[in-house]
Amino acid sequence: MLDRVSELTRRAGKRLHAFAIGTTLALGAVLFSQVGQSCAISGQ
Amino acid sequence: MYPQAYRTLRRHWFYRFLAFLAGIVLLYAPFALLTRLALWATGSPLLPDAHRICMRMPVQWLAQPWMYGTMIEQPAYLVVILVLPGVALFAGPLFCGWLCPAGGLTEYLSRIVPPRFQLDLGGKVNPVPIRYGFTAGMMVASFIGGNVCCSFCNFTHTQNIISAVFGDFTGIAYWASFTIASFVLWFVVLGLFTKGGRGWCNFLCPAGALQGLTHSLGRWLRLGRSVQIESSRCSACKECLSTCPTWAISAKEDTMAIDSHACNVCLDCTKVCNRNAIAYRPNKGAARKTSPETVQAG
Repeated sequence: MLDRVSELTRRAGKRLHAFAIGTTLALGAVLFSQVGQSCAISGQ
Repeated sequence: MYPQAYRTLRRHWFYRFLAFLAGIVLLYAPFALLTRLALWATGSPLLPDAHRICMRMPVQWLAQPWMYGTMIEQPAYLVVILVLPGVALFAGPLFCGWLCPAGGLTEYLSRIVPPRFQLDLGGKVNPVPIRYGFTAGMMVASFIGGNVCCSFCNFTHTQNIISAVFGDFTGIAYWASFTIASFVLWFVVLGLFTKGGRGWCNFLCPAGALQGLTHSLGRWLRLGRSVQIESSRCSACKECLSTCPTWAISAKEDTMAIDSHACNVCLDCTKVCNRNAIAYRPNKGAARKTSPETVQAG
């Protein structure tokens, strides 16, 4: 039982970690969109 | 791969390539037939190109209630958040696997690059949580007023390439800015030099994430169809795993599974299976859970 819980926790942790990486990438893309004159289309 | 299976796959790729060309004609300037139809129907004076049926902005706008009016005034945007996920609920992300010009361009060009030069992430990395995380992060940022620049988007890069092919080089000028980084990431790193050529789709596409979510929901509710492995027929030869461009098939020792969050219903895997263990079947009667840990084959 404990092994099962441990395995589920490990898998959930890996997915949460990957989810956080994706979120960080998105926030990075948004940040780069706000600085300088990188966005020639929307003018941001 | 057996010669017969390879011939079948080549013929299947030809049909998919025709669908890819149809996607360009429907969505991209100078043709943009579907976009022109949508703009004509709403009497909009906007320029018909890839930005009018954008694959990213409407997903961001879901987190921006003040943009709902824009979506209702320009129903072409509703294609992305209603029509494509609706189709995916019953039939899977057919748009991604068959029509999407941005995903198709890198997938087909990646077949020119010898495999020894390509990153092979199939079965090693699970891109699904990263893609959902990227989509969620983009929506949260939108809610607080941030936005991802249009010129960072692979859909825009594809429009620029197609416009340049037809003599309009204005889009190329954007690549002189920081957007060259997103172009290299999409086209070179995650495209040509990644096995399957769909690294960007797998990790970063918000429209793909939305369709993957509804496809998985359809499978869970036993609606429509999805690609399924019949475990009693599977010999775990892993031909399907090496063929899948979206890394949706995984193997663990003698077990194999398809992740419906990642599958784009290109059906390549169904063509290489010499035991006909993989098929695009009705979800009725299928297992509810589809994660790699729960569906076993072989």
